[in-house]
Amino acid sequence: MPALFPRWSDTAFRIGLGAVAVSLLVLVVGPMIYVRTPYITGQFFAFDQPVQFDHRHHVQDDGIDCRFCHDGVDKGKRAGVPPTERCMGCHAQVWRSSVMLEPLRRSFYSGQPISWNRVHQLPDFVYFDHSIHVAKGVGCASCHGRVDEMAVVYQSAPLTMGWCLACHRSPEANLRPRAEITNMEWRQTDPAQGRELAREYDVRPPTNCTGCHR
Amino acid sequence: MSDERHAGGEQDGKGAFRRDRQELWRRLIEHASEAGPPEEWEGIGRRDFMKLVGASVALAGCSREPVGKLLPYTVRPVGVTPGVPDHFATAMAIDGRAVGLIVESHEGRPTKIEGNPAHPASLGAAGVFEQAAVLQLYDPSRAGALRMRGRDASWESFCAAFSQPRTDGGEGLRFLLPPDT
Repeated sequence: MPALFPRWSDTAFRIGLGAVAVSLLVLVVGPMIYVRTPYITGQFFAFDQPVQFDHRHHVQDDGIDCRFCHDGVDKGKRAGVPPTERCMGCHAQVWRSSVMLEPLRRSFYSGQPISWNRVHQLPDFVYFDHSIHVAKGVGCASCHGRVDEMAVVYQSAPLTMGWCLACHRSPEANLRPRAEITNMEWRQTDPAQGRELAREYDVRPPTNCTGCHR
Repeated sequence: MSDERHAGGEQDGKGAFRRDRQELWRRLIEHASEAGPPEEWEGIGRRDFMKLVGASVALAGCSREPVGKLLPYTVRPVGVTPGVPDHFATAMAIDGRAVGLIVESHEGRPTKIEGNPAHPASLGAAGVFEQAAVLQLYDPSRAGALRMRGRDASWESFCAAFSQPRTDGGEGLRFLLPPDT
């Protein structure tokens, strides 16, 4: 009796099995990797802004504290972009006829807001509050990176759920004294200090789903 | 919308806009029911259409989020911190009685109405009408301006009309109010 299947059917079967495995990888794992790429998370993307605002100059040269402009950061959910009048507080005096600041003056005198491009954007299904992070000793630079070295602001952290959770599970390494919150150069040198601060500030970050997805 | 308001709203912007919108809808519906699908769609059957829609939806899921805009105040109102809601104590009339309420407001936009715990009658409770009243504030047909003889008018004209003592002793003056206690 001749063989039911030709000789190459084993090979075809193995190739088929391999194809199933590969397509599983491509169809399931592929998108999972894809959504974590900077292209989707927005990490490292710098946008052109209506005003060429340079944080390097304002933070490093002028020594302005983050909270002078982003004054909502320790009060509420949003750090906030300063109102035009805050800019004009200085720029009505210094660089008052600079061409670069033309959009600023136009906004101030017309009452039309400056339309900044948003760099950090969490999805709407995520609850996030700046003030609690600041109150518990998480510094600006811990999430936003060295903004004082950015010519154009970009998102330095991936801001994925895994990234958030990593810190929520063990926050000690990212804690600092409240006095150093806006210090861009502060580094934790002793892990014991992190543990001590976690005790002192009563740091208990939620790790359950409803902590952020309310 | 009554004919009278049509005639009265001849020159004001809002009435004209509302009328135009209604007219546009009427024409669109008429056109769609008379003309059928446009010529370019000839040969695209229902299944092809569903395939195209499905493919475009699937591809849309792969794209980046569009860049959002941040529009800060030019001059921030006193007492407002963006991101921190304000709460205002107020009252509304239901069945002629005032109910004490607290309205949550985000940067000038009311979002939630609850009872005022300090109000002796409600002790902080709020019923369906109070809760739903927040929607009224966003009602498109809510009066957006003063109207005088069927036309939008300014507060200046109101003040001009009522700031002088009336010579007729208030003859013909009427106030239209809901029933009140």
